[in-house]
Amino acid sequence: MKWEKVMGLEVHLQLSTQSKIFSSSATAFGADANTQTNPLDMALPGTLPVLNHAAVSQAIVFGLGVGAEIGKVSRFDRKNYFYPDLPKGYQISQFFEPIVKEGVFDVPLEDGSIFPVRILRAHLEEDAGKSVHDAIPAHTGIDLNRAGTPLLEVVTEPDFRTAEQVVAYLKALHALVTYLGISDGNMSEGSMRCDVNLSLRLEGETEYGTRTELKNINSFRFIERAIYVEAERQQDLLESGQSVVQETRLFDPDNDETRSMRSKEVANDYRYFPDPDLLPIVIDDETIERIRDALPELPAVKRGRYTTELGLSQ
Amino acid sequence: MTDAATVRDVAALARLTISDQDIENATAEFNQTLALFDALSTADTTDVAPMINPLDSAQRLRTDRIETLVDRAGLMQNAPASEEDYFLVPRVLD
Amino acid sequence: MAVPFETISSLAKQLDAGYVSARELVEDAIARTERLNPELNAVIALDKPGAIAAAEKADKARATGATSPLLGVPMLHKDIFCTHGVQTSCASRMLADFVPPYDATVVKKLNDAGMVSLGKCNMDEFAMGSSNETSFFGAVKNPWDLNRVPGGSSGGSAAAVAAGLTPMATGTDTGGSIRQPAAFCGITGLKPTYGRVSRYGMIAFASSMDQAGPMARTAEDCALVLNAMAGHDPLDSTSADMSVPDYSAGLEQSIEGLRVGIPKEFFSSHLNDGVAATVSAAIKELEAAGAVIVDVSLPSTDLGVSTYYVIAPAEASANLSRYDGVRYGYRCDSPSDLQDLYLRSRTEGFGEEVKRRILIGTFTLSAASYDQYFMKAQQVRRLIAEEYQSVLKDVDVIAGPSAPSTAFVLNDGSKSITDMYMEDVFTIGANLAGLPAISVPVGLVDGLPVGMQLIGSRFGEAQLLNIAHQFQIRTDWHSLTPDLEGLTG
Repeated sequence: MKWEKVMGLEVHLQLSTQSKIFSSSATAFGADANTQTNPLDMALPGTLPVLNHAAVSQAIVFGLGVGAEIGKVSRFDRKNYFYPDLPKGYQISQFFEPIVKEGVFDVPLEDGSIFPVRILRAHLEEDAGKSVHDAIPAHTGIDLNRAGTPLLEVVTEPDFRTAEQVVAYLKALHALVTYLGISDGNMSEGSMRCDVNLSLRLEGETEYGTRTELKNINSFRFIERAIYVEAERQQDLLESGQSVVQETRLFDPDNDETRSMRSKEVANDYRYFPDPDLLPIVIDDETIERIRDALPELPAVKRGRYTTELGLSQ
Repeated sequence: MTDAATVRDVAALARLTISDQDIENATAEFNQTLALFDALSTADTTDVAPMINPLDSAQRLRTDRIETLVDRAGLMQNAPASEEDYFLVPRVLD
Repeated sequence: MAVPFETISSLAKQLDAGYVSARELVEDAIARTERLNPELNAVIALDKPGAIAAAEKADKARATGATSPLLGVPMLHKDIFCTHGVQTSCASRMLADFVPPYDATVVKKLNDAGMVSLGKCNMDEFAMGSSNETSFFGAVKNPWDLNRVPGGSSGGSAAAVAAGLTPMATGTDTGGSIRQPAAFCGITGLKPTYGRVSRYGMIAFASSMDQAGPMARTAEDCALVLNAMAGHDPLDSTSADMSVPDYSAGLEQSIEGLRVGIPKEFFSSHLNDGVAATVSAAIKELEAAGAVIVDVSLPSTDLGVSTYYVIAPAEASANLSRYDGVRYGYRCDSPSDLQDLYLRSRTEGFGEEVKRRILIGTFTLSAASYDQYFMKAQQVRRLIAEEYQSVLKDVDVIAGPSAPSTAFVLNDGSKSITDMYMEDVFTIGANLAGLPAISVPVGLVDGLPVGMQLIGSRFGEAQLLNIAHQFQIRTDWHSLTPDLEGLTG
């Protein structure tokens, strides 16, 4: 039986703003615990979010960078769940109406060909804080410095078929966002986090299989290995007549396997609804054009220019 | 109308516990309120956009500038459990 | 010694003339509170040192030539406003020991205007209630009849002003929580247009409807306070970026020719006969002052209660998720693990009505129910708002009763939960539509106060205050005070 891997990616990019997306706390990495926080980041009673201009601009820059349609009107929604690094008990994200809509990102592969990846959407949301499990005995320590840092979540269609394509995409994405100056795009530092949705189907089939989500793998090497290991696991299940359970899994590099994530996923009804504390983001054509004019020459355009003007091969 | 099992599920989602003594009463009260909502289905809302907020203006964007409104000591002074400047919760296994 | 039940306006003149000092006023207010509050339970935190310091500061400012209508005047804050260094409990066990490290914008603005806050008023827990019976700190008694409720959720604020503890207390109104207690306690209470007053630092119940407002003895006083409270706040995205007119300036305008709409649905079966008659008489008074009375219709009036009780608890269920025992607030004893921490802290920390609303709110937002309940309610909300807008094209203001009855008896076991929700039937529309509305005292029925409600167009507070003031210069219902002799000692 010839199995085909079908993969889609969700990449979270930390945006390079000075202050957080909804509060004016600093976003710089490495400060002492809970020093880069304001009442809003702590979710103190009565606090309210106000949107950072730079987060919106940087999202638009990204959208233009992948030739995507910019959502002229987008909204924020609340994603509700309980976890100690999520102080409000909900994350402010964009579920219904994202700021960046469909686009195509041309990824150069090692063999010189171009692999076009369809971007489904990219949306703004806030990051959670950090849980520290080994600092104090029998306890988990919560540091909210990171809570509220602006994230841009980039979601692709399930266009990937090989781990090589996935890694090429991530490298190209890293190059794009650093070139555009909107993110450090650093996987090991956490400013670029990749989740892979993976399912298998028999070659020639058009229906999608049941997918699992591989979360938070922080290096290209681990991504390749995780994909390989999970695809093997799913293949074994399917070939023995069992089915794949839709769930979130973590890659365990020490044991070279993927593991099901625990009860964070239990009762997974996020009860998304539009956040009444925020008004719609309205972006007019002048703003988009102004940002477009200020962009550096995009890699795809540059490649095109190199090949046509300078006669270089792809 | 809903049953006690649904009410228990909803409570779990909201991180609330309803005791065995209270569950019947809680379910009855829940259903009483749900009955109040039946009237909504009588309204014709074809092509009516939901109203999320009465203001019809756009979100104001603030300047990207760092400002600390309250220092760490002030922000953590009400913490029920904290140590080494972390908020503490019972150990979480991921 | 100052006479209790004086208005801000009158006190300001006395302060300016030097007949009395802010220090004397605040000491009188504290003494009166200490005497009467044990019975009323209107005040749950008294900050004597803070109050005296603020009064002395006001006196010093006045001595150097500063003057303003609010400088040195005592007041109270509903315990929903964060006050730096002073208890802010929202009348909940969940926040019983919470001391905010910052001031709400409303608190800061009134401090800057020189008002002297004595402390915090009792309220329904997390603003959820219409009788001030859900407070963790016990019920509040109506100064007009100690066996009856003051209304809610701003019951403590209403009772404090009605009993003459201070001339003004701040309140908040999400479904009627300023207007209904103002009506039950015979005082004047204003809910501004949504977005007129900042919500920053005001503990959130239903984000798209909550609004802070003044509760005082007269419309004239409400105008003075609104001048200081209103205005754009960069810390609140839902704060309207609009200039603040001088709300005192238009009070004397004639209301000759003003069109006042009376919705027939407001005089329906819900309404107690005595209240109907009293409000009708008040409307006649407006007519005598030159207003043109017009019959109008708000057919979705009853639907408003269903709409509100889907949306408000849903928004609240998310707003109250932050109360988890982690960073502040009540934490259960010796939690065994994280889920135990959440479950017990929240189950023990919240009262019954709050838990009921969190449950129903969580349910209507859940995937299977969202379209049928939450989305539907938001659509009906738009229909209701459009209905009000349409009527307000034909008339300048809408008038009617603030509440279906006068103050009901405390611990009335015969009232079901949904009976209690129906108390808000006349007030809810203004919250759903985001419109300003005021309640003014218009008489007594069996010795209990009755309130008339006026609802205006968006940012039409000046007109509401004008009409209310014109009513108050022709009548003296607002000057009536309860007999509190029985409470002395």
